[in-house]
Amino acid sequence: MDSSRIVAGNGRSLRRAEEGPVGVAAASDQEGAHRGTTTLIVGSPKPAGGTSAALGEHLLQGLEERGWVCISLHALRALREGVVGKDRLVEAVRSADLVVLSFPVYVDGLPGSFVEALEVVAAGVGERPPGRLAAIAQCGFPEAVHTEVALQMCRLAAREIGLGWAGGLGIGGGGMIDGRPLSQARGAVRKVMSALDLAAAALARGEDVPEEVVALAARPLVPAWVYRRAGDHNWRRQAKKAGARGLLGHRPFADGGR
Amino acid sequence: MLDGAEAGDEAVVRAAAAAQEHMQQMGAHVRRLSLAGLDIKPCLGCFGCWVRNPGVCVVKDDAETVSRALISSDLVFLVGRITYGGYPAPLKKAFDRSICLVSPLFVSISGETHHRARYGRYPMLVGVGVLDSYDFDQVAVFRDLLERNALNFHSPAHVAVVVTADETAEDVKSALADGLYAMTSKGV
Repeated sequence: MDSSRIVAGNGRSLRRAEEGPVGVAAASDQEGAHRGTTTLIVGSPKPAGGTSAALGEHLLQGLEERGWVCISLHALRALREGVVGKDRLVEAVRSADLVVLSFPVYVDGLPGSFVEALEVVAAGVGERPPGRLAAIAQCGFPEAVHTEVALQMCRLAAREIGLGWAGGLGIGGGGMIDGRPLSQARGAVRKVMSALDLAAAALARGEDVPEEVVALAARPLVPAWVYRRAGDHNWRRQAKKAGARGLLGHRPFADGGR
Repeated sequence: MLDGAEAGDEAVVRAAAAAQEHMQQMGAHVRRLSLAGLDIKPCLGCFGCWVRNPGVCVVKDDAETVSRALISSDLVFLVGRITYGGYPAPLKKAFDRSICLVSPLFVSISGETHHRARYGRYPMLVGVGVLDSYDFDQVAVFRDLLERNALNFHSPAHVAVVVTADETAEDVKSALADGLYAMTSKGV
């Protein structure tokens, strides 16, 4: 995924965000009715944004189809760009009608670099911005319960920044999506697409993410035991490929008697 | 002790110093790592510490020192200003890099999936969170966070202690004493 692109209603990449608000205005004019502006901030530290980008982009697609202008930013890349990237983050939040955070759950919360990005936004945004904030949290466990604390943190971040809270989707089984665009998804992952489509429709109407959509997103993609077995097989296969066969249980810091 | 004080945050520095002193008075050997002085890059989610070099992060910086200290401790203090109900960025970055301490393989515990333990014994977790003023919403999330951290980190016990920026070192020690008593009286 481009870390900073502006896309129009038909999903074409129009202009780079580096061109600033001019790009947004042009996109809006070209596509007719401008229903609102969405800023997606991808919190995955992976360079291409991984599964978080795939989920966020799918939600944006639903908003674009309803005439919204959408901007995507990659939080860690923006931080690494220094003042310019940080200013872009702040301005994208300040000017958005809807801010969407999409991120992987790291150790029960937001990735550390994503916390830093939100701190930059909170410090720089100034007076209460006009928009609302929604979040998509995904984790590598089959159960969405692992995303609950992280979503509560997003609600508190919205409060701190001054944005209204529009709700969050917690999605388990992120390993089954594995960074692929959802348009290529088959089988169980299509349930996630449905939840994102319904969430986009509600958000485009200015409503919160409905409870039944939250429940749909949280539904396990496959039985947990199937996920665990397939996941374990995958970890062993990756270790074998990396030349670490049989070493998954290695204890390099066991000198303390542990 | 992971001291997550950011530059100029005297309230967090005071809380960390008070916690260190309290534990030393109890006879504990305390190793306090001031994260502001360490080079810790964000976890990139590459899983290299699980499949390429199991148990050790492939990014070479001070995070290895932190992970080694965590797993060789009986008690780990996570000290920092509560940020959105969680840890501040420097502390969270360091904690994110500790996933090398668990196995990638899965296990079901009480009907939930977790990563299997890599080591035979894990430390108890004590979260010491600082707020400017008491905020029930943030405190509730912080407590939930400690509970989830303990579950996923195979910690035998945990407690969240919250203090406000206007509290003295003695207040912090008193809050810690209450918290540690509550934690250990649960049967650890």
